Amino acid sequence: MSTRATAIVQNALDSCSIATPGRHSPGETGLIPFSMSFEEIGFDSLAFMEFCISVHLDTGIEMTTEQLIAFGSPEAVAAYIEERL
Amino acid sequence: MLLAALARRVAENGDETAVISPGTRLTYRELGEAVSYTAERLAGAGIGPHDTVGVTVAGEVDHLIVALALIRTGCVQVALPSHEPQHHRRTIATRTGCSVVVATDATAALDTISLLAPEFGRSPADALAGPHPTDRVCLLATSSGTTGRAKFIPLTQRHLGEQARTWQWPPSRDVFLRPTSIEFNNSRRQRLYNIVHATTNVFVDRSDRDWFEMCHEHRVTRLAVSSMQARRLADRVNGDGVRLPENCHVRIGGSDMPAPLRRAFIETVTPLLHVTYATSEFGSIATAGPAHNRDKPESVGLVHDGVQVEIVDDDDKVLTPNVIGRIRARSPGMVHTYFDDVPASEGAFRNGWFYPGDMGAFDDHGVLSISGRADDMMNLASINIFPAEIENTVSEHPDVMECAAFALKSRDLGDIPLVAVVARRDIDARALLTFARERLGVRAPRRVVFVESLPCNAGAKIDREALRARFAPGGHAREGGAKS
Repeated sequence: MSTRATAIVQNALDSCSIATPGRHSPGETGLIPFSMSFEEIGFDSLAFMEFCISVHLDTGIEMTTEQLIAFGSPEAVAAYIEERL
Repeated sequence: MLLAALARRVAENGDETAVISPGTRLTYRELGEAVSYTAERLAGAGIGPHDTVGVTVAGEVDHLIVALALIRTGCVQVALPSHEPQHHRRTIATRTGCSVVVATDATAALDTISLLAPEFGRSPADALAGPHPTDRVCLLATSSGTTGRAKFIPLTQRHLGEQARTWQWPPSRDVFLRPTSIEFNNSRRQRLYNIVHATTNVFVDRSDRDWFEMCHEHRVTRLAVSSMQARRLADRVNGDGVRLPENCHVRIGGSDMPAPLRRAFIETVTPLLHVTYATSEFGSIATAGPAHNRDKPESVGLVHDGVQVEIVDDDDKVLTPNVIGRIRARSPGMVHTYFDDVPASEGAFRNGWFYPGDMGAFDDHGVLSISGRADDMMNLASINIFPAEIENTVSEHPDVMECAAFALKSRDLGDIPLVAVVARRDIDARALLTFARERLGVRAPRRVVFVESLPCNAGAKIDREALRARFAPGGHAREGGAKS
């Protein structure tokens, strides 16, 4: 996995933590294994939206909540981003 | 109405000072005589009701005399400011059908349009007496709007007289100074309004003379500045320790005077602050006076007497207090169409109302707050977000000097809000995003971009399109991290 794709996904997870303060601090999101499913991480509709926004702003790639759910985990999303970059 | 007011000033206030500028002082009688003379000469040169006349006169007092004299001739006048590039002046002249340019400088000539130098002198002011066609268009005010294409606002003497009334109510005979050149639309109109109120017009010359000094020298009681000038004023007071005269009220036009700046202004400059919400099509709509600037500094205060304002939804249904909607207004001083611009007219004037294109809400006490331009409203996944709420919040951060919210487009989500920040010192972007998120929740900006200055369009309004273009997704050169 490229460093850039990893950084983009990490940034997206951090954005979700800003959006849902108290759930995970940005430092803590760095501890979340990318292989965990979004469901296990505790993603809700707001978190999916924030994740999509962050990826869009960093890369120009537009994703939907449905796509993220289908990917299942940050790891799969990172692989997709790496392909698209 | 305007010329009748000048004739009345000559009769009733003839010995009182009408105009002060460096090296010039005219009483109302002398101003009336000067206007009469120039009007006679212009009429003698063939200027009359059939003409549209461009005006390029940089001298402040000369400009005022020419503007009033042209009204006397019955023609329509439009400013072709000397500070504008030649091609822009030519475009205005062509679109408005100018047949003559009245100019004090021969270099202001425009191709095939006749050039006429105004003459200055004195004639008996009796010639100012009627008849005055108050409902005939006498002035095309230029508005840059937000589209970049100038709109022309056809004003009659009656409009100007009515706008003068709401602009300064209750009427008071002030000593008025505005550092902005009379060649600018709003400045010219305010100078004309002052005739109605028998106010003394104090002009600053172009030599950049200290207008603080002029405020003291001439005991200015009303100073009109832009929000940008207000910032400089506050810095100046802080830095040099200079003070305005004790009873000098400061009037700031436009609704882009954020709450932190108002508070700083009140603290450092004067509590006698008035922030006015006004448009060229309408004149003043509402003003936040000293009490509102202290207690509700994000508002534009109460609607003026004689002005009616409603907040409506997209179907023109009137909304209840505290619900944001489209602002519409009506008053005797408003125009009902733009000159030669049907699409713009249809968008802004409907059923006797003027729709300025702003969003806002009344509170339970009738205090009006502006949320931003309707065109600027963002819609993120069905959440309405207004630039003003982001800007008001982010401006509260002590390290933010100024900021502007803008949107990046997403196919699925709509408008993603961002904020461009001019910082006082290094700020951690993440900390600023958290600061905004804690206050705005889902309506917070998703990125901070740092800029040296905020881009403005020709009308000195924030150019959000320029920000949008500069910070397109995936290419934020200076976005995200701490300010470098």
